[in-house]
Amino acid sequence: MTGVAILTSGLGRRFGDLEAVAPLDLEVRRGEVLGFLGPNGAGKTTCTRMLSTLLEPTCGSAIVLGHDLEAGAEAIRKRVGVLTEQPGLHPRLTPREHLAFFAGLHGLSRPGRRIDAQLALLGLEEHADRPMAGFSKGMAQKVALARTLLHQPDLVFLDEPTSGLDVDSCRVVRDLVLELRRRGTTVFLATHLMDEAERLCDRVAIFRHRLLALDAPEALRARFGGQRVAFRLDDVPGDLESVLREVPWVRDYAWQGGELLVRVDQPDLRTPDLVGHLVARGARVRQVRAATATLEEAVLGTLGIAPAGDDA
Amino acid sequence: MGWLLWREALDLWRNRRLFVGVIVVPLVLAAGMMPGLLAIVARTEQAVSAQVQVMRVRQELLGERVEPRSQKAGRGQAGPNPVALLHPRLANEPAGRQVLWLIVLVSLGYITIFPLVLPLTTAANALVQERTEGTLEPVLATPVATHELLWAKVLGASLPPVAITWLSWCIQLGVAAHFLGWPAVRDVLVTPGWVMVVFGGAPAASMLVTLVLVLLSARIPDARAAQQWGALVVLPAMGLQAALLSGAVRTDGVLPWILLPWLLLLWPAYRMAVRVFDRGAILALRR
Ligand SMILES: Nc1ncnc2c1ncn2[C@@H]1O[C@H](COP(=O)(O)OP(=O)(O)O)[C@@H](O)[C@H]1O
Ligand SMILES: [Mg+2]
Repeated sequence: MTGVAILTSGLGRRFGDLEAVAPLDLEVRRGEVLGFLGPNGAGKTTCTRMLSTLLEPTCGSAIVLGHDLEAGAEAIRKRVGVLTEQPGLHPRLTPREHLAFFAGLHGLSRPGRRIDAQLALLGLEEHADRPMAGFSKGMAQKVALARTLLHQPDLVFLDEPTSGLDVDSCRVVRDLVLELRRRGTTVFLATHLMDEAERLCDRVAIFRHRLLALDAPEALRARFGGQRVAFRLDDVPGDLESVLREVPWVRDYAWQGGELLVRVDQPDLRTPDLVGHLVARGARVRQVRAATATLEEAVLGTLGIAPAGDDA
Repeated sequence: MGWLLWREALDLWRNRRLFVGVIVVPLVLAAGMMPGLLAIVARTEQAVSAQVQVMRVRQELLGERVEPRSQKAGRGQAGPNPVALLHPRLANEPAGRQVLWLIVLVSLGYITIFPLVLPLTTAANALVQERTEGTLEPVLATPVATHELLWAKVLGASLPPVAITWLSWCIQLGVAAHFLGWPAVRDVLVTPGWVMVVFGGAPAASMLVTLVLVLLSARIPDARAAQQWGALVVLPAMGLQAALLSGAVRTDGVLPWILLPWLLLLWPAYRMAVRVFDRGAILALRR
């Protein structure tokens, strides 16, 4: 079990008729930063809550840090840190008091030094003794992060850690994730931001009620994004579908913004052949360019959400 | 548990509006009302015949507070000597002192309402904050036990009202002793019935009201609305209590029975609240 931080089998949650999380099989390795990427309402928070023992699953089970989700819930809570979607701060308490309170709940003895260290790490010393009522979203999130990491958890859940933050606070949060990664802390990062997942994560799970893909960001891009060639055509062959299907190395195609996007395996090598083929079938090629897909496009493609544009 | 209570206390202390409403105003009322009335009545005592005064003070005080029906019932019985109804010993007191006794007893009856009303405010406030700020979820993510969490909520919301009730009671006994003499006050007011009501009934009622609010807030997402429903639940109990304690209904021997319903309801309410507060369930209650 040493290499595995989270292992779920058929873990799922329904709310009435809504299947927020379909039975999920997922493995998170120790020490990795796993991005849990999906649009709003995908069930990321639900999943995070189940894995951090805050919400009972309606089916399946999971082992977290070697403990069963149900039988070992308390042991799990001791070793995980959860940054909830809402910071959940007490407006009338100061950051220092808030941290002291959570240190107490975790049973840390003499937490003063740790609290100071956390406050310093996040640059909160100046505000440490002011009630948090008027704090900006960024400051609040920093306090919440300090609270999450106070007891030095082995596994950290971050639910949308940068949503709604200003650029500077975003950078602080992301640097902190990278720091956790260096230290070997396992991070479960739920986010709807592709670029965040791509930059911070060792592996990314693409999730929308069910797990759609799980791989390293580069691998995902190669697999789903592929390399695409964009054509502007004047005369489109009526049987474009079969025209393209004649070519074995064309993977698929789509219309987007008046352009024909064709996914091929090795565009450098294949583009001249592809142009020749289209011309031979009666298309007039006005413009050709290479279109590299972002992970965002890859995700949208996987989720079956048509990218903006028209399907000719 | 200690930390949870510390947080609740700090929160109450820093919340000026709540602090004034729950601590300062009731204390001022308790400390000011009875001595004020007693002083006024004691000075005008000679002016009017005592028997008439008893009726007038009684009407003025009870007319505002007691529900019409119980008031009527009270009047029916009040014919000969209403004060004697409150405590048999008082029938032998001189008329002037009977007026003072009436005021003392009504004021004491009044503070027994504190443990019913004040927790409505403290509990609703705590629950509203849990909801609007989302403070419960990070706490649930720590190794605290569900029952600790619930106890901290219940104690945090009911201890201040209970403390205020006890303090008010002591103040009023002191004031009463000043005007009527300690031996008489001891005989009439420091009885097993009264002690049970104040030291057993107040905590029981306070905790029950808090538990009811916790349960209501699970059903009703808006904690303010839950507070209003809670008030509805408390209102009949308050009416009954006021009627009993102000003498509209005979109290001798009845007093301890006021406690019984609270004590009987406390355990089931606690069991239900534990289930509501359980991790895994409480966050599913949203919306
Ligand atoms: N407590 C709840 N009761 C009912 N429905 C819920 C509850 N929590 C979440 N949902 C629903 O489950 C779905 C997934 O929600 P959530 O996990 O919050 O998604 P995400 O975090 O990915 O935005 C949504 O449709 C949401 O409305
Ligand atoms: Mg979410």
